[in-house]
Amino acid sequence: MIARLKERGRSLNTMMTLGMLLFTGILLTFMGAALVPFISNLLSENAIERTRETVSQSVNVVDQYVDSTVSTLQFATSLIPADPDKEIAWHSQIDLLARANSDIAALAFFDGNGDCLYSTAGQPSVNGTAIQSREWFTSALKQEGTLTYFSMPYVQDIFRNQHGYVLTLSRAVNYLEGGDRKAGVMLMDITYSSFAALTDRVKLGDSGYTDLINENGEMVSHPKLQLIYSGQASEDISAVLSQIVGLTRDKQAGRERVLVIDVINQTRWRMVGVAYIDEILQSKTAFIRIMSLVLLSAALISLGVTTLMAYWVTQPITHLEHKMRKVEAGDLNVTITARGFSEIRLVATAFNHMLTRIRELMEQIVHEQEAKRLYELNALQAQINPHFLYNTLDSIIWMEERGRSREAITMVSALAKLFRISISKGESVIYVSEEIEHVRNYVIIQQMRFQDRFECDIQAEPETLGERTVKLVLQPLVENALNHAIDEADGSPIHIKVRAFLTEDELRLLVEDDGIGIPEDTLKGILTRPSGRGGIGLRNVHERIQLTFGKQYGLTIESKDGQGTRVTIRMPREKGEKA
Amino acid sequence: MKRPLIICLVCLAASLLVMFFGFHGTPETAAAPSRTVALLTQADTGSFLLQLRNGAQAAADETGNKLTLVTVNVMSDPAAQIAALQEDGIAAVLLYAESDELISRVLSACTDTGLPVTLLDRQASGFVSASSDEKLAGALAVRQAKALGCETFVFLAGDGVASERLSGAADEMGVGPAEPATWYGWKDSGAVVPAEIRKNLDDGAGVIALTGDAVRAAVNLLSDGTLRAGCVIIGVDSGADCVPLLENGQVNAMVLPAPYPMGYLGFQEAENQLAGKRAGVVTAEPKLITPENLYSAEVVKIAFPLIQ
Repeated sequence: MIARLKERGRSLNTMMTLGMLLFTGILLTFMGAALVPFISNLLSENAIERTRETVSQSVNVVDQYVDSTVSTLQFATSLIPADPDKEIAWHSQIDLLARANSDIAALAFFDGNGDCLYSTAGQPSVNGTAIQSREWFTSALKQEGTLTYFSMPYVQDIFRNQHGYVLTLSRAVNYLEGGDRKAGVMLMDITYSSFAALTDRVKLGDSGYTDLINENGEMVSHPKLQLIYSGQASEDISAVLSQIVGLTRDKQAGRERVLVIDVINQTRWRMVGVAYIDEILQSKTAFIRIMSLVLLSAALISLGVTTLMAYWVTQPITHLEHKMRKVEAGDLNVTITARGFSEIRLVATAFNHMLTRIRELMEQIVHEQEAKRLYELNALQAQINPHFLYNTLDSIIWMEERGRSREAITMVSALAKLFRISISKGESVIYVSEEIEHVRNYVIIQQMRFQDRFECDIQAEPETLGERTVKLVLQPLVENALNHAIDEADGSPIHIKVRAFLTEDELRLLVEDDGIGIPEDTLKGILTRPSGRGGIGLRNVHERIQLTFGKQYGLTIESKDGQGTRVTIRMPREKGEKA
Repeated sequence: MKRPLIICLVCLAASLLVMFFGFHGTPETAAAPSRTVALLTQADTGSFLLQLRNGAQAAADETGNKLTLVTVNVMSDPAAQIAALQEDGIAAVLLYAESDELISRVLSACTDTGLPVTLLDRQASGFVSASSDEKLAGALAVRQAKALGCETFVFLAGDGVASERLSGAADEMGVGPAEPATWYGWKDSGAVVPAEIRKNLDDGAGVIALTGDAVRAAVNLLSDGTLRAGCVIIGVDSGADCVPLLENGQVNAMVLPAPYPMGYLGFQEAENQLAGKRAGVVTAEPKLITPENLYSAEVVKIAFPLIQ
């Protein structure tokens, strides 16, 4: 299983798929690693900057509102005449001012003793020292009309049968009473709800909000003020108190927050914009999520396309491999369809040509082997030629009958050796020494039969004896020489020479006679037809040599009519193991 | 060819699914649908109801759910009304009523229909509720009386939640529930303070009226001389309409329930029931109101619930 997996892992398809996946993975990772942090940081910075801008705008709005109310109060104070007791036209002016501004709950002017000279909310239920002890009264007098006092939100109780939830602004006003310069206080109550609406409207994300804190850290406004007072909610302002203006972060109830702090100029209250990091970064989170989805999808698409492409590229090779395995298993009739890239098609076409050539060569070899066997068989059959055998056996019997046992033994021995070498255990190629021995035994037999009719001189150079030769090549030539020479001779003995020698790269066996020679027209086709009269033929020898060693080897016959014949056998020098 | 093609198609399909479910499953699109909770009440006006409603609305706004005000009355068929509410898509009910009978019938109808219900300003055994911490109310009253120098205490008590307040007061005093001097007879017209109670009414005694009516009765006793001028009167749950008594100095302090957090908590408990979470009895801290903090922002919505 593991070996199979390892083998699979080494396949081109797997390597291509993994390679392309690796490349895609690196590319996508780089994109993710490089782009995502950059863009997501950009998004979060933009989101925080937007939060800061929103708070800044809200501060501007509140600043403008406060400036406006302060201006209104200043205007109201400007309406107070020098002697407010005597000149009462300012009453209607104050009334008009209050009616014109719906945020104003009450406008009232108190003299230095705390007595109300006029109020748009009706006569106060308290005056005198009860008013003089109020913080808005004392603070206004302390500032001597240079600054406006701003109270925290509270319930106004000084007006009869009225309770308003207000913020009180007050400012000292100088006036004349009985010719004496006095300081009184103009009070202006603005409804808290109209003031709180300025900050309640501001939305910083789903959960974000703004609140106002005074210099002492007391909450002026907060969307959850009631819950804070009842203990159901809390607001950690420690981070705010440690910083006057700017950006800071803290954590409340497990959620990280960004606090944008700015100051309302007139009141020195701090406006705090609270935005939750997880909401601010929603766009960042959404972006990361989207990018992750896109990258994941890209990775999946890449995997699918890579798999398909790798298959498309490697399938022709796999097909090629599959067919080659069939050839390896012995099926040479396989044909590979050339498909895929041009290089693969080229390989497939070449492989097909190679297979065709192999098939042709194999047929040729089979054909040649068959021919060789056929020729050998013919040669062997010729060896067992009944005439030669009869004649030889007759000679042996005749010798024996005449008491010439020694000669009979010699002939029998020569015959046995002749047939043993002829068979040579079925081998087609034997040593030159064996071939010489073979022809020598033949000559012995024939010399006993045809006494004095011929002489045969057999000489082989020592270095030729170890060379390899096709068997049964000399004897047929000697037989041929004997047959033709003896038949046509006029009684004088024939001289036959058998030689074996080496040239630079050939083994040459020579059979030469001084017989009648071969007529020219006979010589022409002598290697293409079987010779007549009992021999296996020069053609047989020639064909066997060529089948064994190639067309460039074989017999060369030189002969002139009446002048003898020389037959040269040419074979390559080939020492070594027997065929 | 089959296998690689199948792998390719599977990968393409998977990428499409990733994109589809990824974009359609984003948190902003997968937010839970908003639900509507009904605030059932006998009368749709009243300062206490107004703050209850505001508190419940604040809780609803936090979670994106809705609150609607529905009036029910004992004369009509509360069960039918409950069934009709359920058909209209109401997911849960907050119940604020003074009539015991109405409360009982509504609770029974909700139980029958399986509609989650949360009692406001009341407790009932086996039901989720958001109410004032009555024991703490009694304890705060005693604490304030002690802060004002009282050494002896007389309680003008009543039934129901007043018993809880008395128990809290006794715990603050460090005595058993039966030990505080308690007078129940103040309700009777022309009632005379019993001797065993009177002996506790020296100058500087703390008279703790544990109901709204008891506060008025105590003020009357003070004005008719039954209570000495040096007595300290502290009212518990006297209602915002008794605030003028505090303003006028007829009452030295008041302990009032906080309807805004009560409504807030009640809505949260209703949401807990809808979410299958644990929901039970929750209490909101009552507020001690004194002349010093009467006009402060901290108690404005309790002492002056109608103020804008």
